[in-house]
Amino acid sequence: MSEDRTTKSRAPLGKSRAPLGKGRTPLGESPALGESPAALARLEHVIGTVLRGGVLISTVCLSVGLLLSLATNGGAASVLLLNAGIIVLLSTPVARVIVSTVQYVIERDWAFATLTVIVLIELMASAVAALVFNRRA
Amino acid sequence: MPAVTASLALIIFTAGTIAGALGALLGLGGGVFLVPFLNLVLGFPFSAAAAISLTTVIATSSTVSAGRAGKQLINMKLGMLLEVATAAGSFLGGVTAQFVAQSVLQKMFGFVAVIVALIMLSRLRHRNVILDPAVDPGVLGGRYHEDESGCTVTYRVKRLPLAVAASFVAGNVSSLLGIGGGIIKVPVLNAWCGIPLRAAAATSAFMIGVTATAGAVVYYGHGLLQPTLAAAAVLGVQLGSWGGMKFGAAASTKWLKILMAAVLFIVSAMMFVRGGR
Repeated sequence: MSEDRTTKSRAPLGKSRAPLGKGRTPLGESPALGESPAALARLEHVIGTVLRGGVLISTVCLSVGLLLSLATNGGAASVLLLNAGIIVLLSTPVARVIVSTVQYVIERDWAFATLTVIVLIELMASAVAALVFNRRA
Repeated sequence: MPAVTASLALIIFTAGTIAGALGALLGLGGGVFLVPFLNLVLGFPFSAAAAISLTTVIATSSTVSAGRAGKQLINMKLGMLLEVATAAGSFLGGVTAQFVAQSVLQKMFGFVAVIVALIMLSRLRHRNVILDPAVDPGVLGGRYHEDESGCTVTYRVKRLPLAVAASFVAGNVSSLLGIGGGIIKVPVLNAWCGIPLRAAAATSAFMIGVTATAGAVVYYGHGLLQPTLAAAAVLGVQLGSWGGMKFGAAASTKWLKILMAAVLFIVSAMMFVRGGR
């Protein structure tokens, strides 16, 4: 709450990553996105495109599917459309992380490329673990 | 589980609209409202409620972030750093579920929500933004154009370990409570980590999609997601977040903080009601 803490804001960077078990990554030495607004703008553009695409496709599938489902009382076409919309929706955040990784690799920002790969691994691990061990059944 | 009818779809569409508006204004996925609404008011089994809720959280996240990308309001670097913690939290969510009963978690949640609401209210006049454009935002800080003051504002990130811990907890309880965890992250990022409310909300909205994905995939894979009702909720979210983004930029930060505190009080009350059953 006190402003004198502001000066310390860089210090905890290395430490905060310790609980993740990955040791120290030279986050502060990652120049690409830190110094280049152009690189950040490119990343935002790519991410925005992926998110808009995912939202658009899933919205079209879900709205047509919903109307069909209510009109035909759950006919086969509506089930197909609804599930397609849901799968696109659920894949959008994952696709966003994947394109971020690719973009960071292109920009040679290895620290953030590593971070986004870790997120991908964690996402897959939790889905696989939950489905395999069937803990919610 | 009630039968799927057009009127039920309409009710759920409306609930989704509110969740989407909150997502755009405060960075919440709205799951924290949607789960008790579906569970207690409409009588859905908890797993069906959580499945729909987590799906709408993803919809809120993608819609709001798509609308915001390119405006520098989302702190991408901070968001992607904290996503590592939030995804680790959801990976370990199954472990937490083995040791802590859901009702205990809800009571703890209700207690913490009241405290956070009081802290938010005590800091109404405190602002995290630095108006001097020469200030270095640091490695993880940011700058954005603020409509409210009409200038470009800067902020620095403080107490990063706390932000990491909050993100871990948000991911950890996400699947268990059916929420995205914005209700945990936004107040912490704003009250203790030096991040202005608007930037905290945008960054949280960006992250909750990843937080909710692991849980949503599992519920969907187990066939617990009712597709027609999920579609109604998701379409409601699109409408609500569009409205929230359109009108949110004009809202003052003070008003948003009061709204956030009110939301926290309501959530706390609902958590005690559910946890007490």
